[in-house]
Amino acid sequence: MRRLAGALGPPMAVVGAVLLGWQLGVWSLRPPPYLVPGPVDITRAFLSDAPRLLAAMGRTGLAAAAGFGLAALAGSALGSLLAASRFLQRGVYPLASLLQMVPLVALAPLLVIWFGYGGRATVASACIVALFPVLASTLDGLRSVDPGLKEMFALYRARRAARFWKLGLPSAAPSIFTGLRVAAGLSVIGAVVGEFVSGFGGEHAPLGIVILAALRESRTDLVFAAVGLSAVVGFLLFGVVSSLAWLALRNWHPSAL
Amino acid sequence: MHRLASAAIPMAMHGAPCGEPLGPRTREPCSTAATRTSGRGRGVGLKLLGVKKGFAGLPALEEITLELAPAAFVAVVGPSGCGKTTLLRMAGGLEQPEAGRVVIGEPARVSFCFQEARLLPWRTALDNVALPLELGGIGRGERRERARAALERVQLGDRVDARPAALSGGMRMRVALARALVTEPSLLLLDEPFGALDEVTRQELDDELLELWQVSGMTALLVTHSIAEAVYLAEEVVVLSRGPGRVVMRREISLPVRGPDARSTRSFQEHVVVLQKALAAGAGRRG
Repeated sequence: MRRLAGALGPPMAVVGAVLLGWQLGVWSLRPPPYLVPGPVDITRAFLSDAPRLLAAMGRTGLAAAAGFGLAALAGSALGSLLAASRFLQRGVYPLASLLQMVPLVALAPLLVIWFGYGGRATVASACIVALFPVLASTLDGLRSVDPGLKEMFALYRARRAARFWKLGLPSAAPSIFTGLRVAAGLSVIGAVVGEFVSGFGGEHAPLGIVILAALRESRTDLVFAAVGLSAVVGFLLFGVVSSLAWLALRNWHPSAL
Repeated sequence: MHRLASAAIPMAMHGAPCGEPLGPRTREPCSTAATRTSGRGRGVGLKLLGVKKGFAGLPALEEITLELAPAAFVAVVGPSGCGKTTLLRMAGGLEQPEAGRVVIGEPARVSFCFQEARLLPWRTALDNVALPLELGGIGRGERRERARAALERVQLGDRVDARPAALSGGMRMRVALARALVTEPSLLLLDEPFGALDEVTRQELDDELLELWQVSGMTALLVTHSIAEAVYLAEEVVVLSRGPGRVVMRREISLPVRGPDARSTRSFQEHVVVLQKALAAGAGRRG
């Protein structure tokens, strides 16, 4: 409990100070509310529409989590495959890194063509941005296994499967978790961008559509509220990954000790 | 390609097992002078016949012939870069000689102990020691039991659940030693295993290694750059010259006593001095 307070205290204090300064600035400078609303306005906008906003957050969060989960599975599996074959590594890895370089916004319309409007395109969009960091970190982790340990496994005539499960994967775990942390944040970006292009308005609108609709009505306070909620989604996913990393590494890895 | 397993070499068994049973921290020196005391007699012969090896076109080891009788303890000393580690790796099949061959008697159960402990940091000491058994397909119950026994043999019976990060350098080497011994090797290859430890810990581990060798009756080949360690542990010391390594001296070590008391004997000092001269002479000559 004290550790939790120690971890959360400093960032909370900084956030509190920023919000306070912001509100004081808004009160004293009085910018038009469609340009810069203050935290109080944003909170009011959130509270006036809380059920709809929270539902939107839930939908976006679910899509981001699904895309992230798929990316985690596919990325680590693909990374492991590439690590096992030099040919695949040379052939596939440069192409996979292209995925990282093509702007997602440019790709999103294609996803609509393939997956139609709605949730599936959003999940695909989240998955695509989250895939590469997981793949790259898995490959990197598996390629950096201590050569001394590898030699030892060879001496013990370990089979390929044993070398992977008992040496490769645990050695790569810290690196994979770093990739997953990056991917967690990216998947939320991917989901919201996907929603911009493929989302529905109306009762079941996700955060991306809430943002677009509020923009059209010049409801900047609502935009801020929705942006804040998408950040919460990112934090939650990041938190889940960090907890899993801690559980997996706490006994031995310096990053978790 | 050059590795042949010869037919079983019959084992000479003389003398009662020395120092057995091995309780915790017992330091019962074996008093028989330089006898090859063997316990269960599982050691096998090892022959390196004219092995040669180079790297990147440069010779690292010139033709070297080395013969170890079953249950022998031989140490190879030499300056850095004389190819002694390469020699050991060829003996264990980790590298192939360019010429010559390596013959190991049956059953050839070879264990390595490296300079670094090479432990899996995510595993407890017990699971690290059990690893070779696990990879060899031995059931969980049996391998844990044997790993526990091996850890007890190296005085770590109370640290079975500790992970490497929680152990000192000396303890980590003990775990590595236990892992090398858990398969009951017939041949133990040691590549400067305690080189990174402080002097006191190193001597402690040398004492333990000596006892373990005496009790088990395995054959041991040690590579080290410490002459004192070589004289303390081995029955025969081979001195290599600076690279490309050649044998500049072979010396039988006969001590009036074996064990910790040996270090203070006059004959121990004499061996050290003679070998030091040979090592210095070999280190001076290049090429």
